[in-house]
Amino acid sequence: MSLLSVRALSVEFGPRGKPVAAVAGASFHVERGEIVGVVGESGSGKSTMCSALMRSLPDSARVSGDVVFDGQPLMQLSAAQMQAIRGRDLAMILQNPMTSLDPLFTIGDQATEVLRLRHPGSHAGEKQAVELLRKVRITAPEMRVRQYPHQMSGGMKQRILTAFATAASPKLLIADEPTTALDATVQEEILSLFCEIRDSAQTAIIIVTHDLGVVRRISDRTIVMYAGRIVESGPTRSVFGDPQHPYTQGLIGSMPRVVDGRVELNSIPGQVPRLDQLGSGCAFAERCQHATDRCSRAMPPQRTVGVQHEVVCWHGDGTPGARREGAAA
Amino acid sequence: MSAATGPSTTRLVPPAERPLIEARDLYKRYRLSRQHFFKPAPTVLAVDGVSFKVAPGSTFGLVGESGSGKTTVAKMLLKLEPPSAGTLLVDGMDIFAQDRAAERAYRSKVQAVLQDPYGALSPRLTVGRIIAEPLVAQGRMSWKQGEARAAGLMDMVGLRSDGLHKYPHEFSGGQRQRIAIARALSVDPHIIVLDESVSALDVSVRAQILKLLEDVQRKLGVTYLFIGHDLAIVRYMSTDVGVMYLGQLVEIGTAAQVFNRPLHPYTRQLVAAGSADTPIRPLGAGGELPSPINPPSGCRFHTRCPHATALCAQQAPALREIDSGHQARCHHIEQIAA
Repeated sequence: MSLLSVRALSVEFGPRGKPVAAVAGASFHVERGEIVGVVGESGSGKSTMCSALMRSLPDSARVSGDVVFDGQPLMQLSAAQMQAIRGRDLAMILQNPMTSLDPLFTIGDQATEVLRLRHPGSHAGEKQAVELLRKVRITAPEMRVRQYPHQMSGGMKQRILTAFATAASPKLLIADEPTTALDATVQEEILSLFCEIRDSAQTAIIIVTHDLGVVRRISDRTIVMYAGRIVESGPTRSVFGDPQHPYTQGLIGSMPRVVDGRVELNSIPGQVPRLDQLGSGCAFAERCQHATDRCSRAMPPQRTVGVQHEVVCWHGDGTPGARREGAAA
Repeated sequence: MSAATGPSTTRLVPPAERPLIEARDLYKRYRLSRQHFFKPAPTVLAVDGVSFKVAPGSTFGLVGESGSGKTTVAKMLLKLEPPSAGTLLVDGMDIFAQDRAAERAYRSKVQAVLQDPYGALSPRLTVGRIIAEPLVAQGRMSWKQGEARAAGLMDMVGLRSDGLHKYPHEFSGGQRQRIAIARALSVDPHIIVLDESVSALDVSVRAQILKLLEDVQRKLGVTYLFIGHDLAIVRYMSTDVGVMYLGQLVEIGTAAQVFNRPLHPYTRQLVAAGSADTPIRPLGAGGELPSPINPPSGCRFHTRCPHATALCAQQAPALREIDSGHQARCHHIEQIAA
């Protein structure tokens, strides 16, 4: 059984008569010890989906669908039951390492607070806090536990937050844009740290990002979202090597790449549609060069195109472009 | 500018060969706040002896981590900060030895598009006014003329000119960046400083803006100083590239030289991190980015360098030319990049 299995997850905001679906019918699964990358642009619903899994959305959000995590139906749990899982079995790291730490307390204070919450009854002190920082390779942790967040670099803060999030060896870690604000070499450190956490504790990781390079390198499977829907998912190797959805192809084309010694880049025309102005068909239709009448009329079905590789598009094999430029990757 | 008569040393170089921008040994030292009453305030050498040349119509890319000094270089080019030492020549003239008239002319020749498309545009002005404002401020046009020109500029950057009377909040991030580009173009600049201009944008929007910038350069021949931390993007945009580390240029050359045959260990790390084929290596011990306030002795990179020897900790390497125009600052280039 999958560690996490999500069926038809939807998140709606706004009036019931005219709802706006930030996430619409998302279904996917995460296995133990697996790293799953979720890519998509602003407004694609990737962050909302993660918050829905954590059940940390505001009350104004209407969430439907089934989420089974480690055998428990997450959406049916009481607030207290959910609180017991959150942070212990299911942890999250947020995008902005600069604001996730309390500026008024030392790193050591915050570390011991986390440890005491995760291990009730234990008397975690500075020694345990130092150990926690050492796990994420903070140099001179004895000194660092007495310092405040403003004395740390962005990369250090992100490593400390990762240490906090994984203090209880969670079964699933959700990381929302964990490397976005970081420099290239610091990003490398965070990615190494994720691999280490996965290898040492069999922690599964969902990494949400708009950086395709990160997903391509770290994740076992990739999920591509557009306008609230999953449009393609599959093993990272096949999603990047043989992308089937025109949007995935466009995204990969939007990354500069070297072809015959020259750097090339394509761009997708148009812009992401507003979620309150979506029609009945495929949301990508108006930007898609393969779009036909059917595309804007009716929502395409999900088709299986390879081993665990699924795409939501009317145009199957044989349509020009289904295996267009992305295959060059 | 028009003083074409009279022999000046810069005129000896054929015009096509003369760089539009030439930085000669630039230094910038900032004084930090005093930590202790009886001790002198600490200083930080944000830019430490940087020299480069940029040909007209080309793009010079600057890469480096936070605190490497790349934005300080941009600020000096924009004349927002004077250098502590060194000269910055634009079109053969020292921009820090100008009279008021020359300075005024210079300000319209150099424009900037910055990272945050939300913070860069006044929320209380219409887009037409935002784009026309530099022209009006320069006294070149009335608001009416300026707004008419703004409509043409909006068309050029791919925005519908019926947005002229809208406000910035009515536009998406990518569209706002187009507005910022239109405003920069309004005064016919020769140079545009692009400091992380596409870093905050989504992948597909970023590609559109990069295409637009390319298009603008092809049509108008503007020169770009392109600052970024995403190597693939810098490589795509740049003719020449400088890699900065703790205030110094550690490598400089054409984009092809730097990315196809990176010489400096730091550049090699950056290039490897940017490649999809590089496996994620296990986390090394330590390797914190040293502070520019108290940079390491000798070669500044030796604390994080896998090839460092005793020599590196003692003696600072100089920039050495390895290939025509391709220079790097490392004692061990021959062994490393063999």
